[in-house]
This record gives sequence, structure tokens and C-alpha cells, in this order.
Amino acid sequence: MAAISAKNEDWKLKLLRGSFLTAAILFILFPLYWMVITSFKTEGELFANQQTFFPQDITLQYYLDPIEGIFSPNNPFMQFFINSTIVSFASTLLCLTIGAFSAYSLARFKMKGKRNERLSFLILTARMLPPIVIVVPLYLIMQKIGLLNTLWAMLIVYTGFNLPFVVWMLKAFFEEIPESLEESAMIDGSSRFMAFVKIILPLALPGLVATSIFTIILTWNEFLFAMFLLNNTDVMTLPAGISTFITQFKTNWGALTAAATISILPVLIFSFLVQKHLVKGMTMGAVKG
Amino acid sequence: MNIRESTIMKALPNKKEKKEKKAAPGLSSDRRLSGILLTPTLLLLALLTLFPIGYAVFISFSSFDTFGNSTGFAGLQNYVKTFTSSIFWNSIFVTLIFTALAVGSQIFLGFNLALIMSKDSKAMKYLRWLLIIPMMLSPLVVAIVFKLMLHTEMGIINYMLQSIGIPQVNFLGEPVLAFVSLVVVDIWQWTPMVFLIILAGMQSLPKDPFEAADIDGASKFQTIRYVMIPMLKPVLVVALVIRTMDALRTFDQVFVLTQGGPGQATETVSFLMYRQAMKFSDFGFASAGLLVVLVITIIISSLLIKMMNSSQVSN
Repeated sequence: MAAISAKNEDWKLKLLRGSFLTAAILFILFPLYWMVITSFKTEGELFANQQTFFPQDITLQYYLDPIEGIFSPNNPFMQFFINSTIVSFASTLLCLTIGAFSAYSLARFKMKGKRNERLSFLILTARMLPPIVIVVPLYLIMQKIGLLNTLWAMLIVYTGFNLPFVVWMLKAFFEEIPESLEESAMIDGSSRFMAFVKIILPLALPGLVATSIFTIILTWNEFLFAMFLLNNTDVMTLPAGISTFITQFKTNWGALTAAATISILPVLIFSFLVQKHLVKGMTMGAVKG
Repeated sequence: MNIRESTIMKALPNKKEKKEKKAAPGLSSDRRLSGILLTPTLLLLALLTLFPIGYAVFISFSSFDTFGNSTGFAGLQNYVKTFTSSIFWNSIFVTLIFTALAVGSQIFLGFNLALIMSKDSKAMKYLRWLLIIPMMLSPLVVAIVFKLMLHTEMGIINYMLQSIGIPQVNFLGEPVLAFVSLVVVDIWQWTPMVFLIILAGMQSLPKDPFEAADIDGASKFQTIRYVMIPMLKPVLVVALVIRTMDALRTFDQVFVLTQGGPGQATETVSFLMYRQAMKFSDFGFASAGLLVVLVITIIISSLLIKMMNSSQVSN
């Protein structure tokens, strides 16, 4: 009896899993598929009464056309792409340099009165702050000091705003490395700081790489600050730039989806590289994945 | 009864044992180094948070002309305007309901899906790469794709609805539908993340308490309710905190999909403040409103942090 009911349940569970898998795959992939194929459809097909699930004549005009294609020199898209690349990589580098030292300090030095825990939470509250609270005064400040519409403004802002994330992530990675390693180096006469640089940093390299990739993706996707602080197409990052494609009175869906498709490619590649650390990254090290 | 409790209790990880590494007495050189290492971070954070907040306080007491130039001291005028403004309270209400609905659905769906999938590690291996896609995309791009799909005339969703005989729906033009659309987009993007967090938590739970519950004849539901959920609480709280923080600041999707409309039906706090500051140059109103938002956020965050602290004893 028991065996039969167990088998029965097993069958039900399998069906449930199978249908969940199928539904999840369809639900997740369909919007992306739709975005990609829309970028290859001709305008006639896009506005036709009969929607097509596979483009009838594949066109590359939204990518390569010398006038409206996003890769043409007349189109600001490539500039957005370059700006995003510069800002993401530069701010990530800066953020990791500053963040690694602080993370190490918070991970290792156990001060009395839980001072470190309090500091960690103080840093976390900066992450909880809604950016809109900061961005309006920041806009006025940047205007005053003449940094509005410059990539310098974005570099400063992104470095600061990704810091809490970087510190928490790296803290979690450092805590996984046994402290005895530095202690033995220090017994051999190395200073604490050198022990950190020579022993801990190389050991934490996978963590540093994963954290960098997450930070790059966060910066790559950020829209609110970019939209407030950049009003000039020469300096716009991808999200800010792409949003200007919509607010024009007629939306060019072909170009918009083409731009969206190209803009997510680096993110997709990068996110596969951090698969293993994903849960940790998403929870800032609070849950080990 | 007694036996059952004891087997479960024995199998549960002893909470106090794991915690509390002895605080080493800080050497004075360590303390100095720690200070040096922490200073740049704290300085930069102060510069980018405390300073703008202080500036916002200053602006909130100033009046502005229609070009956004400061015209002098305004007293409490901006605050009175904010507190008596129905659009301000509407935006707070919209944001809170949106957060509750979106995050609630994500935790509910994520938990149940994790329950279904937790034993099937083979399927998960292939599913993982798929599930990480939505959460890695920029919310702006996600909103653009959904705007295209929800389009009244050329959207694929309306096309499919029509093919089964349902008349065209103006998803983003009706207050309730527009709001629901926003929630659904958020669910699409973030349920996979909540799912993966909860799944990681489930897979790291010790097996003994479940075996003990099984031996004691607990039903499946009882096992989940009284064994799994209590042990999973820290992970659930982390997922809840992270999603709540992000849902409260929702802006990109509103910007692309509805611009706060129709009327004020989907106007989140972030979007309202953007509109006041950038479109109407009403920096006084925006700053006063932002400080109110700041206070509300501090209250919610400290509640969340308290939850996190109290649930993290076993970590």
C-alpha cells in the first residue's frame, strides 16, 4: 500500500516538475525571444495585422543601415556603449580597491563592543537609501561644481553607491579564508598589511573577480542617476541613451529592440561567469550559494 | 509527544554553539590599521549620502522660481505643501501597495517553486543558467520589452488574447491594469532571484530534523510548517529585505511603461520626485518630500535590519 502511494506521489511530483520547467522556460524566454526577433523584423511586418512568431524576411536595417542602424556612425548608440564601458570598468576598479581594504578590516579585526558589526550595518544602510533621495540634491551639487554632464560625475557616484555591496561581498569572501594563514605569515615577520596583500588577496581572487563582475553589471544597468546627471548624448550611458529612443514622439521599435539586444549581450556573457557565486552576489554574501 | 519533541530538538543545530567567536582583544596597531583601511569607504559614503541629505535639508527651506533658481528662504512652506499634497500621499500609497504585492508574490512563488525543485538537482543544473537571465537585465530593458508586448494594437499579448476571442485590452491605459502590469513585470524579473536564494537555503539545511520528523510521523505539511520554515527563516528574511529595499525605489519600469499614469495610478514616490524636480523644477517640494521619504525608509529599514539581526543567530 505504502509503496504504491509513494510511487503515485512520485509520478505526480514528476509531472508537476515537468510542467513547472516548461512553464518557466516559456515564461522567461519568450519576452527575450520577442525582443530579439522584433529587432530583425521589417516595419511592414511589425505593424501587420498578423503577428509572426518568426520573422518572414529577416532585415538587418536596425543594426547596419547607414542612416538608422545602431552601428552607423550617425547613431549615438556606439557612443553610449563606449561610455557605459568606461564608467563601469573604471568605477568597478576604484570601488574594489577602496572596498577590499575596508572589507578586510571588517572581516578580521574583532574590536570590543561589536564596533565592526555596527559599522557593517552602517555601511548597509547606505545601500538601503533610495537613490532618489540622494539624486535630486546631488544634481544641484553637480550643477554647482560643474560636473553635470560629465563621466566624472558618474564615476564618483557609482563608486560610492556600489561600495556597500562590494564591502559586504568581499567581507563574506574574506571570512571564508582561515585566519591562521595570515597569522603564520606574521610569525614569519611579515606585517599584517603585507600578509593581507600577499596572502589573502591572491586567495580571494575568485571572490574579487565575481564581485567585480557583479559591480560591472550593476553599473551597466543603472538608469536613475544616469538620467538625472547626463543630458547630453555625448556622455550618456546605455540605459540613459536608450531611454531617449522612447521619449521621442514616435517610438522606433526596431531600433529600440536592436539597441536593447546589443546592450544586454555583455551582461549575459558576464552573468554566466558568475553563476557559481550568484546567490551570494544577490544577497551581498548573506546566503552562501 | 515527549519523544517527538526530543528527537526534533536533538537534530536541530544548536544555535548558541555556532555563534560568538571570542572577540580578540584588539592590538593597538591593529586598531590603527583598521582605521586607515576603513577611512576611504566611510569618507566617500559620507560625501555621497550625508552631504547631499544635508543639502536637501537646506533646499527644503528655500523657495524656487519656475526656472529652478533659488529665490530665498521659504520657511516651512515646502513641508506644508508636501504634507497637504494628495499626490504625495498617493505616491507613498502606490509604492507601499506595489512593494507588498510584488514582494509578497515573489516570496510565495519562490518558496513553492523551490519546494518543488529542491530534490531535483539534475534539472536545476540546466535551469540555473536560464533563471539568472531576468535578474541580470537592466529593469529599463525589461520594461521596454514588456511595453512592446503589452502594446494595445501591435502587442503580442493582445494578439494572442484576440485569437481566443477576447477583445483588445489597453493594459497600460487602465488604472488597475497598468498597476497590475507593473507588478507582473516585477514578478517576472525578480521571482527567479528569490527562488534561487530560497533554494540555496533549502539545500543547505541539515537532513536530520527532516528524518526525525518523518520517523515521528509528521505529515508533509507539518514538516514544512514546523521544521523547514523555522530553520529557513534567516534566508527568507534576507530575500524579503533585499527585495523590499529594491521595490521601494521602483523607478525605471514606471518611467518606461506608464510615466506614472493613467492619472496617478502608478506614480511611485521615486517617479513623483523625478517629475517634480526635473519637469517642474520644484526642488523645494521635491527635497521636502524626499526627506519625508527618507524618514519612512529609515523606519522600514530599521525594522528590516532588526528582523535580520534577530533571525541571524544561527548564521
